[in-house]
Amino acid sequence: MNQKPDSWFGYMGQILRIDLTTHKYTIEPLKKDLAEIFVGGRGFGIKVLFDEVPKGVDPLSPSNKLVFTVGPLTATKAQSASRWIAQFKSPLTNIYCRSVGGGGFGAELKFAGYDAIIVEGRSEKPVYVWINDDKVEFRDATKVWGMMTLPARDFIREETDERSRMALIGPAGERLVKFSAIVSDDMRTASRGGGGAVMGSKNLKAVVVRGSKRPRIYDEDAFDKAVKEQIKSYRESPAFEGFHSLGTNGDVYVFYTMGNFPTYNFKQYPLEGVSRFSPEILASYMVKHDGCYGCMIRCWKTFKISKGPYAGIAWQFPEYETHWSYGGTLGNCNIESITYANMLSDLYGLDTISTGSAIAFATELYEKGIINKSETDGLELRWSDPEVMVELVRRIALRIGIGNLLGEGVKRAAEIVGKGAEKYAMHAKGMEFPAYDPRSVKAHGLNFATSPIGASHCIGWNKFEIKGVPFEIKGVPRVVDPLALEGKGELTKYVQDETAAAETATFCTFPLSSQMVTLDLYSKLLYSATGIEKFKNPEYLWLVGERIFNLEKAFNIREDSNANQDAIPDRILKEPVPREPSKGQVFELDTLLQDYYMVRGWNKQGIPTKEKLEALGLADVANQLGIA
Amino acid sequence: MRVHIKFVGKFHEEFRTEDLWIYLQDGAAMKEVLEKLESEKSIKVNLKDSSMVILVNGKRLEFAGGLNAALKNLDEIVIMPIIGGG
Repeated sequence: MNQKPDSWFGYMGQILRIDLTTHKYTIEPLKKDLAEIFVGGRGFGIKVLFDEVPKGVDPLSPSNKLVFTVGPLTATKAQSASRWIAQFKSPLTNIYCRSVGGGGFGAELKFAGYDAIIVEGRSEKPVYVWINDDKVEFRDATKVWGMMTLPARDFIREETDERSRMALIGPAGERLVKFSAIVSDDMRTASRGGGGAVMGSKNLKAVVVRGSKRPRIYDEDAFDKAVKEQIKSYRESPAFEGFHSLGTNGDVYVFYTMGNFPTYNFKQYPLEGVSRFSPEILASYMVKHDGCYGCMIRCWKTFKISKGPYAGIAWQFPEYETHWSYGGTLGNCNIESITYANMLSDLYGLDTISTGSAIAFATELYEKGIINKSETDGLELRWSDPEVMVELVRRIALRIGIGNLLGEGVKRAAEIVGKGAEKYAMHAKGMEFPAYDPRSVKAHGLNFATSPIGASHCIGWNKFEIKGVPFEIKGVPRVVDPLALEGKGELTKYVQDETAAAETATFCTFPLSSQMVTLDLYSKLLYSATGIEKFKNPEYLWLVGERIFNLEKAFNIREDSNANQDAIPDRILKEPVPREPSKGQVFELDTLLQDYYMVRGWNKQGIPTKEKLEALGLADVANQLGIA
Repeated sequence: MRVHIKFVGKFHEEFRTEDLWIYLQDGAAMKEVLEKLESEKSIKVNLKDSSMVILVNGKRLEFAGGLNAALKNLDEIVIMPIIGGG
């Protein structure tokens, strides 16, 4: 049944479908079923992709689709619910991907009147799409094609609206670097999985939006009350002050000490100079706080670099992951160089995690003599060398020399190099590992192995193991031992399902990972915003989270049973960690997987059973996959 | 014996100390360390602070034997804040 747009609450009631091949668009009414069953955000995206991107589609072909989604709470007074999500089949992994960005783009999509934008086809010439409420234009992007993100943004704003918001790509996406990012006008990124390359393959420079509408709220009094409860929860949380003052920079030194921060491409040698990452030193570079639309945490910081060879920069600071990918994993403690490389990544449009991992991979190959100067155009790859790191970022972004190889991602690069290179390629399902060592945090490692997009920390950040939030086991809250194996299946499923549910809103990971936001609170906000009865019960939201996770899994199963295998690199399975506190630890994948599959209601091969899919309302999916 | 204590982030500010050494009887435990911090250095560590983590040689106190487990000479204790995901 189709509702008119003006009868929706929370939602805008419209989905915009853009065909880049024909330069035509349609505005489709949001279906009530879709909203009730998949709620919004990440739920919408996977449903569209499962239905419309069949097995075998080349991710860089016109048949791939890119879905931008936001949620029923986006652009309302609810805090931290205005993230935007890009979902697509990934050119890096060849399976499903979901990538999340922040800033103001998400809210503007709602202001323009849309709950999602589906991008299809391929434009013959470079184009950007200009969406101004109901007016949609396909504009020639020849002038801005080739530009870094920042100048491209300014040129496009002059041609559209000075206050327009946009999601764009830089030279890396245009050159189809497999882990190129989608970057917003305020330099926030949906980084992982190569969404930038998907846009590049479609000759799409940017999606530009400006809107004048506002979402309506079903029960204003109840909604305001729930928002007040959310704000109170933030103010009472010790994590609020932490995120506000330091973002995730406060974690770097701490996580190194706990064995999570995997130095030297997961060899985990002690990192000399790691005290440079102490919170006091990192805080000394901060000159400004900022934040996403509708979020009081304001976790963004601007770093100013006034000394040394990278002096003059004032840019968004590197977060925890980037201090690792351009720092710790390379044995590099030069904060200034990490800030510079972070800036280049925003300008070229690169995922910092995968780029740094590719550099670590190359450095280890060079160290082991598997590649040499003839492959690097004379560049000597060395650990702990900031200038080499910066140089490689540029070469990867522009696909110059060895950058052309590394820009394929470590999995494919290792296949091309041969000679045992795959030993040094740290990825799961083709997605490079983030900054957590599975040997030091077992459930979090299990999340990396089982995540439907490959190794992703945000898909199921384990607050129980990493933050020490007590987990209720048989009604008793207990602090979890990150090195223990027991009960980790349940722990992993919990955070994965909770995250999938929260990303329908679209809530940010930060308040979720520190319990500032819970699904109980989400249910109150969601029901009062939308008036949809089903949402009154938080248990239903848990079900939706599990439903989304299983559908994402189903997409991958249908795609390729090999790419779908839950595997972990040998180094992590077999090489014991050399430094405390996880000294001697390896990763017991098989034991952990069997526990996880059982908890998930999947068979021993990790395939959801028919009973499980039926219980989640996905019986048709079971039929499609031939699951008896 | 002596153990090394490092204060990180907001605890460095709060206690106005970056790091110090505490001298104890052999086999003393974390419990005694905290008592000495208070009596000798006027540093009162609040065990109920949920944003605080105490690490002993990198392991969370709960998994390093807790307040009553015997420490060793030159053990490294870190008192620091934990924030959230990323």
